[in-house]
Amino acid sequence: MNCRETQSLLVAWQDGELSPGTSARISEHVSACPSCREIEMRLRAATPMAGPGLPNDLRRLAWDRIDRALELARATPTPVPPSALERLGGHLGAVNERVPLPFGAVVGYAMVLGLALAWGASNWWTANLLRAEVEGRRIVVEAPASDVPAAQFRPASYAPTAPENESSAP
Amino acid sequence: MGTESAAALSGVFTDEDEDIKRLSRTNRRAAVDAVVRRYRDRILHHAIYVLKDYQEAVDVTQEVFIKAMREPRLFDGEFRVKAWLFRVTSNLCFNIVRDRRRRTNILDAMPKVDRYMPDQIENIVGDERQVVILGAMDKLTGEHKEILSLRYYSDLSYNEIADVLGIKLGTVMSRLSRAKGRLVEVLDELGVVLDEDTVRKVLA
Ligand SMILES: [Zn+2]
Repeated sequence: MNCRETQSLLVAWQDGELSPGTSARISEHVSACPSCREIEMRLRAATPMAGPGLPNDLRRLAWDRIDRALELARATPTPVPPSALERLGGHLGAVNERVPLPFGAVVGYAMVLGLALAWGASNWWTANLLRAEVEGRRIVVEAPASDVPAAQFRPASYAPTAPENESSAP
Repeated sequence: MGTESAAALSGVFTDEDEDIKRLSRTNRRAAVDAVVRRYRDRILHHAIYVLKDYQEAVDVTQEVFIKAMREPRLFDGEFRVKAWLFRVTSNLCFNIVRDRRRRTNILDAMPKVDRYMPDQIENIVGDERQVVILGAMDKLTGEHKEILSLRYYSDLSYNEIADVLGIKLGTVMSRLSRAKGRLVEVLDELGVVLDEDTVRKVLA
């Protein structure tokens, strides 16, 4: 086992998480290699260790508060199955576990309100479009100006060359 | 905590969890109480080490057990109660730490590590050296801090950590190795001596 391999496994070796075989090979390398031994010691010195923990009075205080919170939660009726909207809100809220329901509900309501507004806006928009189109058509319909002499629309080449011929052609 | 760790290593915990599951079939309420009694100190201490605030840690512990009580799968055959409890605790603590950071960003005030430390922190953590190590952990990423807490303060095995974090055993190994390497670097930057003599004294 070389230095790189050894060093990558040192922490697991110290934590006793390696197989006996691998563990023995690490021990062998560490005892023979000064630089790996130095790293091993520094890692060991930096190991966090749990202290004696909370003093008894603070532990008991915490236990009491946990028991009371559970009693209170038991006394509150189990929440009724949530509606589809609440489920949606709850689902979105679950992203932030700290504030599951209020956040989710707010998002849910906001979405419904947004949808309603969007629906209203789209109706208004459609109505406007329709009105604009009708009005546009009306302009088109009214456009042929009856007061413009029809002759004016005739191309110059269409000048009455021989109206007589036209009428007496056949 | 010492006897509990010994029990964990000998696998007594798993057997007791099975007993609790059996109890739940006849008396769910008593089974929930048994889960609370069994894990309350470990969950509370895990939260204390992460949050360094007694009140907030108690709040989190309450919330964890209320969630457990309302968890329909809690006593299912395959359900791993211990990993679930630590995962929920870790998530709740992570949210609190993130909110704190956001709050201090808004106020544009530098957070002080000891602001969240009760006076008794030295009693809880152990000696002065361990207080320094705990303080140094605040300079690590959340991911590294979390895995170090789970391993060394809550005394979970690599397998249990893999369960709690939902990662592979190999990832636990490499992440812990990197986290500890970073911790050594931070302690170096803080001028904490980690030479052979000190190690001997510390481990004596
Ligand atoms: Zn080497």
